[in-house]
This record gives sequence, structure tokens and C-alpha cells, in this order.
Amino acid sequence: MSDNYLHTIKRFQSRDESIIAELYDNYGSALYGVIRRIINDDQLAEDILQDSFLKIWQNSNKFDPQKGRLYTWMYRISKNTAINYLKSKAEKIHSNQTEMDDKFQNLKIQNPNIDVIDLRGQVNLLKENQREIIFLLYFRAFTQQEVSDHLDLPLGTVKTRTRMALQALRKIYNDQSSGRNLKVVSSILCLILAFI
Amino acid sequence: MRDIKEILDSGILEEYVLGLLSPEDEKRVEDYIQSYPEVRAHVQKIELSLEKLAVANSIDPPEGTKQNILDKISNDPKGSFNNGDRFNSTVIACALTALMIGLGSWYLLNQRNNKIENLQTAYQELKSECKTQELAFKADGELLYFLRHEATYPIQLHSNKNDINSDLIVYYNPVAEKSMIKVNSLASLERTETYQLWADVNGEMKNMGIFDNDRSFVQMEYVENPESFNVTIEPKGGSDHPTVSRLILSQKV
Repeated sequence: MSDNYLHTIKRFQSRDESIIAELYDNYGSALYGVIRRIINDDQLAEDILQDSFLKIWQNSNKFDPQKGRLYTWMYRISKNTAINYLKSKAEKIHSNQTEMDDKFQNLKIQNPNIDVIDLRGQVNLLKENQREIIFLLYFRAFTQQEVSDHLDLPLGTVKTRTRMALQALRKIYNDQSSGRNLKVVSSILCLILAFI
Repeated sequence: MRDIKEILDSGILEEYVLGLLSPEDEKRVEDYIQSYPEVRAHVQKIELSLEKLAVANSIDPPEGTKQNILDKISNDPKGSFNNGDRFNSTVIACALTALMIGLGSWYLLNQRNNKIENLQTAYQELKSECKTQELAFKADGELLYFLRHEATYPIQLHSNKNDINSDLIVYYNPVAEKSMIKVNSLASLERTETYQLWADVNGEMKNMGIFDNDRSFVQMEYVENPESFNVTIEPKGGSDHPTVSRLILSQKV
């Protein structure tokens, strides 16, 4: 772990006031992107993002860096807050699929990571079925059983494709972070956006 | 010990990062992470790749969201910042609660102490009353014993002027060497006067004490071998010698 990251963790666990603004600047849009893809409403998604950050802050003493990264922990809180809202409202996750597709077609990528460059139409190193699974599991908060039902695939197949998709993704980012295959990343990005 | 390669190839680590595991399986993976550096490194790579994917697919929240979040956190008691200059409502609430509990406890304790004090006072008064009653009972018992004693003689004194309104009994006991009188009826006297009882012993009037017309039993001085008992009216405080002209009651023994 980098020194910067460790310092961030220390400030977060000691409830340093300035850290929450920093976490929002670094991850707010990413978390909103997850929430917005689960909740089909801008205002509601914003409310849930606020609630998520509040929970993140209230439970800062419960974050254990030995168990995983801070962003993953924040992601889980945000995802669960959104899912719980949906459960309480008994909304269908799959509703208004077309409306979401249209909305996300023109979404801009905000605060681009320097490792990800929007180079559309480049080589696709993720198989379509793998992309699909990652998107449903990570951005739409499907369970593997729900993916299995939605795609009409055996659960075992879903699990296998999940593992392979993440292995491929990992390989892409590792290659990309070593300075190679920048184009591959952008193509994945474009394909995911297209799928949305 | 499970084979590390088996763990890495099983897909369970991917599911862990995606939050798809049961609490039991999550705990199991966390144990692997703690135990095997290779597992920890593998999990971190998965996390980083998904983190980058999320950042790359982020969506800007509506304008003002950041400030709303900061305001929400600063207004929440559980979420208040660790800032010494900021007014901590949780601390204040706790302090106020503690103060109220303290005041309440002080009040209740005070009330309790007052009650105890009152009870103690009542107890003392009751105790005193019991003592008085006990003494009175004892006195009554002694009186009854005296009156019933076989050696106690009641002597009815008679008026020498045929005053039927004067009625007095002397109770005399030579064994107990005790004398008492019981006034049944006597006229009220001036404030400067008193009744006085005498015992005639060989022609000499011996003083047995003064009394008034109160109808309770009164213990008098004991005199041996009285030949008669006599009552005169004397100046307030009694006399050394009887005023014969004011003799009102008499009776030989």
C-alpha cells in the first residue's frame, strides 16, 4: 500500500474533518455512478449518495484496512444503501431499461483517471458475455443468482465467467498501469458504456 | 490448510470483492487474507481493477451534492467531526442528561433524607409517649396493688359540721408504710388557701401534707400509729400547726 493511501486511512479512522471532502472528490462520482445505475432517478440517487457518505462517516471506526481497500468498503455501503431503498420501495431493478440506455449513451466521463483514456473503437479484450456479467454484478448490484436468471445461464457458468472477467480486467489494468495497452482500456470503457 | 492455488483459482476472492458471499464465507476469506500474503495481494489487485473501472465509469452528481453531504455529516450527532472548536451536541446532550440525573438524584435523596428525619422524629415522639404510658400504667398498677393490699385500710373522714358535700377517704397501710387520700368531694378554696391533712399521734398533730380538691389519688406523708386523721383549711403552702378553727374533716382510726 502506498504511503498516501495509508495516510488517508489514518485520517479517516481518526475522523479528520478534511478527509470526507477528499473522499468525495476522489470517489464521489464513482459511487454516484454505481448508485445511479441501480436507482432510476437523479434526485433519489443523490439522496442515497448523501446517506451513503453519512453511513461511511458514522462507521469509520468499523473500517478494517486488513480486510480490504477503503473504496471497496465504501462501494459496498453505497450499493447496499441503494438496494435497501429499492427493497423498501419494491421497485424492479430491470424497469425502464430503455430509458437508462438512452440516458447513458451521452454520459461524459468525469475526472478521467490518467490510466484510462477514451480511445473509442480499440481492441476489445473482454468477451461480451464477461462484460455483461461484470456490469450486472458490479454496477447493477445483481446477485449471481439474479444474473443466472436474467441471462438464463447456470449459476456455475455465471461464477466461472465472473472469475474470468475479473482476471481479464485485472490483467488489462496491470498491463495498462505498466504503460501498455491504453487502448484496450478505452475499448472496454466504450463497450461498457455502449452496453449501458 | 487449504492449497493457496486452489483458493486463488476458486473464484471466491472475486466474489468476496464483489460482495457476493455469505457472512460465513466472507469471514473465511478474511481469514485467508490475514493468513496468506498471496491471497491478500490477489484481493488487492481485484479491488484496484474494479476501483479503476468504477472511476472510469463515474457520473457526476448534481450540483451542490458535496456541500449537502458535508452539511449532513456536520449536523448529525453520530457523524460530527472531530473538531475541538465545534460545539459537540452529543457531549452537551450527555452532560445535560447527567446533570438532570444528578439533580433528580439529589432531589430524591433530599426527599428521602427528609422522610427519614420525619420518621426519626415521629419515632422519638412515639417512644416518649410509650414511656409516659408505661409509667402511667406502672403507676396505676402500683396504685391498684396498694389499694388491694390486705394491710391497706380505707378510713372515711367525716365533716364535723355535717357538711355532706365534703367527702374524703384516707388509705392507710402500716405494712407498706404508705398513705394515700382520695377526694370524692370538697369545696373549692380561695387561691390563698389549701387543704392540709394531719394525723393525731398521742395528742400531737403531725403534718401529712397539703392537697387540693382534685379527685385523683394523692400520696401523702406516712405517720406511724395515728389515732385519728384530720383535715383543716390552711394558708397557701400549709402550716406547721393546724388551724383548729378551720377543721373540716376528722375520723378516729
